[in-house]
Amino acid sequence: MQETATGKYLHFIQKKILFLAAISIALVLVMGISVTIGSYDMTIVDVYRIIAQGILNPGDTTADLVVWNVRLPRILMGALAGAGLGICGAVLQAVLRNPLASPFTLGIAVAATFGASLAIILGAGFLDGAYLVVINAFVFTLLSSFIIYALAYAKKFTPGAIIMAGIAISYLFGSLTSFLQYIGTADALQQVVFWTMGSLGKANWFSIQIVSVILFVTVPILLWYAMDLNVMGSGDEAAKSMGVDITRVRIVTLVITSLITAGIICFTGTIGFIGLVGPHMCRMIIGPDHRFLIPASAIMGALILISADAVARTLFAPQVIPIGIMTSFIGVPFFVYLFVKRRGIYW
Amino acid sequence: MLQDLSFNVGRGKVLGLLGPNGSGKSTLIKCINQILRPKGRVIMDGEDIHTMHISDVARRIGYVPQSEAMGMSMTVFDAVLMGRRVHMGWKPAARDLEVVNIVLEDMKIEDLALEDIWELSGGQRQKVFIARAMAQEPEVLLLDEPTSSLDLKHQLDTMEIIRRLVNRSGISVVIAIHDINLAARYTDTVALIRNGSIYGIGSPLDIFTPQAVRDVYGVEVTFLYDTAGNPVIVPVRAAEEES
Repeated sequence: MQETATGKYLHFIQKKILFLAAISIALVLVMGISVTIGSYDMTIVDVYRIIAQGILNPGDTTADLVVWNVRLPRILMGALAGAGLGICGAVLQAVLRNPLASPFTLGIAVAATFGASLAIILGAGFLDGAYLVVINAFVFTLLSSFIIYALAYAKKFTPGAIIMAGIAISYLFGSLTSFLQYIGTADALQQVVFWTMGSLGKANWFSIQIVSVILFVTVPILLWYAMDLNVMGSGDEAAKSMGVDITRVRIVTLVITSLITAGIICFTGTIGFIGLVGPHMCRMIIGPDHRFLIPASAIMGALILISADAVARTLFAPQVIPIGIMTSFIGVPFFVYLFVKRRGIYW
Repeated sequence: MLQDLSFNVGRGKVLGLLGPNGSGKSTLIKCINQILRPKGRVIMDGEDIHTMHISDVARRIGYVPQSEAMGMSMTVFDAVLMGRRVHMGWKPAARDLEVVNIVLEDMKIEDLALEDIWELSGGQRQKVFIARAMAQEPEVLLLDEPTSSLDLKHQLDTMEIIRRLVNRSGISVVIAIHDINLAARYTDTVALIRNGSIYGIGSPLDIFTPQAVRDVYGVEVTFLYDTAGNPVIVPVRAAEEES
């Protein structure tokens, strides 16, 4: 008997769930392998023994400290950052109806770099202490987002208005950053450049807690809007006619994605590519239903970031290549393969 | 700008909105379902649409836009399922899937269920958008020039589908349309719109007079009659400007 349209649809849903399961398993495996990689010489058995023991009774040998204070925080932060950036990319591409949208499209990464530069070069910022760079990057990311949204709101919050406002603000913070770099010392400049390349090296349990809480609170809200994001793919007029309050969805999702992006990049520096291409890879495989695309982009983002980090740590060990450089090297071949292989010409 | 427009659409009837480009047909359609929010009232069963929440409007009024900017790839089934948004929660219920299945079969596009809507022909895609609006199970269906970009066969196909839907489900249809002959054949009432106001409203045979077409479109027409005695309006030349 010929399969009904509903049957075909449900069959496709099963495939999407299978894909989610497959990349979840891949993520667990890659995380498991990644934790065994590092310059401190340990066997795989040692690493897992230390992890298992440490859950109940943390030890204080060098090996314990390396695993619990260096490797695990780095990998968990990588997973959270990759997941968060992947989710933001998927959501922003939908609400802005733009395949080029990513967490950094609106120039908020430029504002984060300005905040970090202000702290690194002038030592100026909102709070003194160890977290000056982090707080500065966080505050300026959010500040730039809200200026963008205020400007766009005056123009009915259309995708075009949001992107135009983003471009303007991006250039403003870009110039301010250039000025700071112009007056900064060579040493400070090097630190700023390093910051813009992204790093998981400073990850610790505190930063993991902060990012986890942000994701735990915000991601369910984005998932709640998944169906509305699907409908918005049909354009503003059609979405309104199907009962979606597009302005509300746009405001809520943009504020949330700004918060997630700010929460991540203030600890890691700017890590590009994942938020742009991670969602595209998933969309090419499972389609644009955001109920599946959001979790898939999260897992894919984490997978790419952790794989890239593992390569970055081993390629020229003990030198660690900045993660922002490695993500593209790892992700682009896979992206090109999907891009060439897929049938359609649309995103 | 639209002004002093007032008309009624009966249940199970098709109202055609006709007029030259820029006369306000599309704007009028968009005012009916809150895509635009004009001053004035749109009354449906005694209730002012503009005081209703956008999702309540969507439960009662379906809309087929003139064109849809190309966006993300989407399967036909997913596109039509969008129409169920106002009826369903996070996950489509069995009833939602059933309605989509019925609508797809109705439009004879069930074989295309997993095809990408942007890979379809214009005519097939138009059917998807009508199916999407019908999946809303509306009482009123608004269509903004649904035949404009279609070839002759698909123009007739589309109008036949609309007529069939009206006859069977008793919905009311408001359709902005350019083709006078299609309007004459498939609508119950037509409103001729000129510069944002109604020039005349009534049955197609009463409204489409040579004088009215000349006044509204600035075109001289002649009337031929088919074997069944139905008029066919043939444009002859642009009318000379009156001094």
